Amino acid sequence: MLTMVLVLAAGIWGRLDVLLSVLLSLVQLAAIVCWWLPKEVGVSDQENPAASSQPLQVVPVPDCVDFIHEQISQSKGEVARVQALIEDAVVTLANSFSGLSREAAAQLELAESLAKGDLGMDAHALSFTGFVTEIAAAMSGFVEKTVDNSRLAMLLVEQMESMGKEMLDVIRLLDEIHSITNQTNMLALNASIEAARAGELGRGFAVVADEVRHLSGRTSSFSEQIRDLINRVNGSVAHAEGLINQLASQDMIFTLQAKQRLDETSARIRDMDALMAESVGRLRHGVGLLSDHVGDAVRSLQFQDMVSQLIAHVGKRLYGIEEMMELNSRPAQEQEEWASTVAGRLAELRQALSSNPVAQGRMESGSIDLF
Amino acid sequence: MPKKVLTVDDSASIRQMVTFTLKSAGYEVVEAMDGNGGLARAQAENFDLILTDQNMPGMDGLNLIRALRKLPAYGSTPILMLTTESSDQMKSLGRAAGATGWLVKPFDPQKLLDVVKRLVG
Repeated sequence: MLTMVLVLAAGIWGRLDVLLSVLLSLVQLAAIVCWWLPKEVGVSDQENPAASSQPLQVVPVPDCVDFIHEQISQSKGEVARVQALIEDAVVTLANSFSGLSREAAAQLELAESLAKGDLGMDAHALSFTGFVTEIAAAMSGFVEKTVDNSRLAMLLVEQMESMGKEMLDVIRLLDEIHSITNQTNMLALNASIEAARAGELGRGFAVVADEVRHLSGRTSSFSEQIRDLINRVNGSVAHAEGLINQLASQDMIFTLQAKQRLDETSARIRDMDALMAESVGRLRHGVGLLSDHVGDAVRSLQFQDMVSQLIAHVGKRLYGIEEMMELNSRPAQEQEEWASTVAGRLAELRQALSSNPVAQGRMESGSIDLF
Repeated sequence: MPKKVLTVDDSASIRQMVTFTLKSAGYEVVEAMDGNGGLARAQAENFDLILTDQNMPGMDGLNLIRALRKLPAYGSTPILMLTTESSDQMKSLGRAAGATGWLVKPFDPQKLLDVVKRLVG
């Protein structure tokens, strides 16, 4: 698009340059012929009588007049074509600049949408940064809960250790019971011996002694069963303690590693966000500069209107010259009428051409007056 | 609802640049190629502001302003002259005809926008 703009601008300048050269040559030629013409039609030179006896024309003046008529006539068409070409080119240029400006604004809008994560798909859509922040918050909550759970698991392990110690105390008590049972059994045995020695009188005592020994045996048996049970419970508690320890440590390691990875990712995303914000800022600055340039282009492209009006005014001047040439070239018998016609027409043309519609000499911004 | 602006100029590029400048700022812009066309458009629909060139074929800008001011709908509507003419004499004529302001070309897009915003918001 920029190449097209430059090519169009170069083309416009080329056309203007040629046109101005042609117009300048025509005006010079017309001036020369106007100076020569009175001599050709026999008007005496009052200021230089010597000159009137020596004809000055070296080129047949009627040929020159025809040539100027022909050139001015052709120039009319060329001026119109140049005006049309310039207008066409400037309209295209203006389209290009407005297209550039619109594209730049659209790109900025898109970049800002990307940076904000809002592409208009969903009013409740989260930005990428927002998503990561949400995840980080959820992960922090999860880590806190996991730490709490681990703390509770450690308390549970301590409780189980305490329970194991108390189980050992129970086993020690069972040992005491076992010892008492043995002593009781021994005592019952001695009682049975003593009862046997007492004969008939000791029979009842022997029955009691047997019952005591039997009870002692049952107590010993219960005691062993309780010891076995406690040992199995103790083993289960120790196994559960190991599992809880393993669980607590695994949770913490996984969660802490995940949190660390998320923290690193969040940091990278924050860096990316900062970079994107910086890029969008630079893009916004660039679009602002582009907008200024487009503003300058819009102002400068108005040269077409001004140049067009100036060319039209120069054309009017040429037509005035052409008209004067036409009046000047009429046969001598019409001189009387010619004098009054020329004087009247000259006054009209001077009036019409006195005010130029374009006074500006530069493309600076014009004045603004509010009434 | 966007404010409506009528731009009247025989130069297609000027109409295009006025349209681009104002449309970019959210205004609705209608174009007319000369004074007669501008008057017809102004009679057919209502505009909040009118920008007109002075030198145009047919009806020129001053005559357009005079004709518009005779219409009840445009008694107080801002009408700005946007022209290459910069003489004090022409500005006086514009003021007498009922122009709200006189802007000399080339216009700066931002300054044009500032003036339009000031007049119609």
